[in-house]
Amino acid sequence: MKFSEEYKKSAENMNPDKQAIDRMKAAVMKELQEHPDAPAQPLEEPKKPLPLRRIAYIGGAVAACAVITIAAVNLVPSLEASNGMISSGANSSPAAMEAAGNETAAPNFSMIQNTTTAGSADDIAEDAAADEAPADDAYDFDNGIASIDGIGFIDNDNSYEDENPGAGDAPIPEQSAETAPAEGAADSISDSTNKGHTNPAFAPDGIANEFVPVTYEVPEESEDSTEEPRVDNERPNPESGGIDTSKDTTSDNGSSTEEAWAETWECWDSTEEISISWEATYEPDPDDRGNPSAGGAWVIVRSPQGWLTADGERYDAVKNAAAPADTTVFYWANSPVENRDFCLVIDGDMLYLFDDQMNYLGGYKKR
Amino acid sequence: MLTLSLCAAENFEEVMEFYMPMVYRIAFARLADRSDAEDVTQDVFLRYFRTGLTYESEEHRKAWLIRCAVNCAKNVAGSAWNRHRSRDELTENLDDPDNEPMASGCEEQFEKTERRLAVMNAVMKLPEKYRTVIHLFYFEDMSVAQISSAVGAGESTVKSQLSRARKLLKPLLSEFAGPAGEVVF
Repeated sequence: MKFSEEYKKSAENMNPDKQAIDRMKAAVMKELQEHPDAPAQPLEEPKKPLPLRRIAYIGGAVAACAVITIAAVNLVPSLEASNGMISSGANSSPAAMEAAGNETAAPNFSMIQNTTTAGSADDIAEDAAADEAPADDAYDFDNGIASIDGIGFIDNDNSYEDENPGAGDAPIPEQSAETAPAEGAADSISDSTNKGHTNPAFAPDGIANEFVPVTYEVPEESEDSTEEPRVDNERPNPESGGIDTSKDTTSDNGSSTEEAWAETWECWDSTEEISISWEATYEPDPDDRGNPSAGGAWVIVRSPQGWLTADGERYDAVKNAAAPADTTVFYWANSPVENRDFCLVIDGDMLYLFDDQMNYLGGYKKR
Repeated sequence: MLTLSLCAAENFEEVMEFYMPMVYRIAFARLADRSDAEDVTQDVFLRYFRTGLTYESEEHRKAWLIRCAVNCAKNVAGSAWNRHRSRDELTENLDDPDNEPMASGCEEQFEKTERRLAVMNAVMKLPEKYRTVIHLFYFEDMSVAQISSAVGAGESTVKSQLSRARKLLKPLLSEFAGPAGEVVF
């Protein structure tokens, strides 16, 4: 059956007959005669229903834009804050970045050999900890000059004063090979031979050390200056290498370049005095364990399941482990995950964990 | 083709005489009611006269009348009265006693008549918008572009409406399928 033919023939039934046509014509003419001036009626098209799909698309697009805007509004200030914390003069040059190194990426003024107790070291000490030092580890602070690529820091205005000069010595902060400038001349202060965990942390029994105040002058030509001083008096002194640079977002200038150091110094508050207590002679313990990590301090990662890893070795938590009696010898440790410093006391296979205030946290046994 | 003045105010009766059946059929295909179709036809020509347009061509005038008829039929179909009328009432109007085939006793004639009634009933069972496009396409021999401009829908919309209308008609007309067993559109 061909539908078109059948429909045409069947639709002929729809044709109006003669009477209907006459009837309609008469009605139209009558209406026109009765109302000749009637205005043309606008053809009212029936209102179409709302296109739900279009509404959904538009609504979704508006919602997405709103979410993006809100996220941007929330993120931009945090980004600006983090960018501001980074030294604006931070060079992104390869040398600078390389010298910045790993977790101790900040400028490392390892001349800061504070013997302070935890909580009294500032950022300067932390930044300096990872620097490489020349073979001669006897820093010359008598004249307050630590030469770094020709940059001389004269002790005058800026000096760091150890708040606890008699708190005892601390081993030289561990040096990081990664923080060594590419040219190898960035930091002549840090001890290049002092790698790994050298001596255990100082015995906090009040051994007095020679106190050699060292001041550093902030070069004036430094253009960029960070808003925040790099000195944080509340941070513990990572003498044993536990340098926490995770908070140091000012500059990762481990750079060997003059500009990097100059700009780093610029970050410091020129009114503060920096003094460093320094153990004039320091001989690393030949029995010291090798540097388990490039950063010098132990690196621990605590698991929520109760175990932890320290320098790649796993220690399982021991319930109700008693704190060791002797805590005079301990190691600094840092958790990059938690961004915290810890103190470790090693006794055979046992590892006793303390926080940076020497509060006992728990005991672990090597697996 | 009609060769009259393209001005609406001129030769009004001749234009009405020529296009009234077409307008009536479109209205009837939409509404399936003769009285409503007459009302729509009258309304269309009243608008045609009062608008007083001067058309560009005869095709233009024809397209305007078709568009007006479709829209007026939509308005009537959307009225509260028509919305509550069942479709069965609409198809009852198709049974015009004046058009019933004469019982001539010829089977072939009877079948033809039966077939045409079935086709008409099947078309009237379609949704209103499908009826309009089917009528304009198969009876008025309009192209898809012309239909789309007449009904105010896109060409793709018209094509999809035609396609769906054919799918709906096939099972309704399967009884009268040809030797091949299908209805040829």
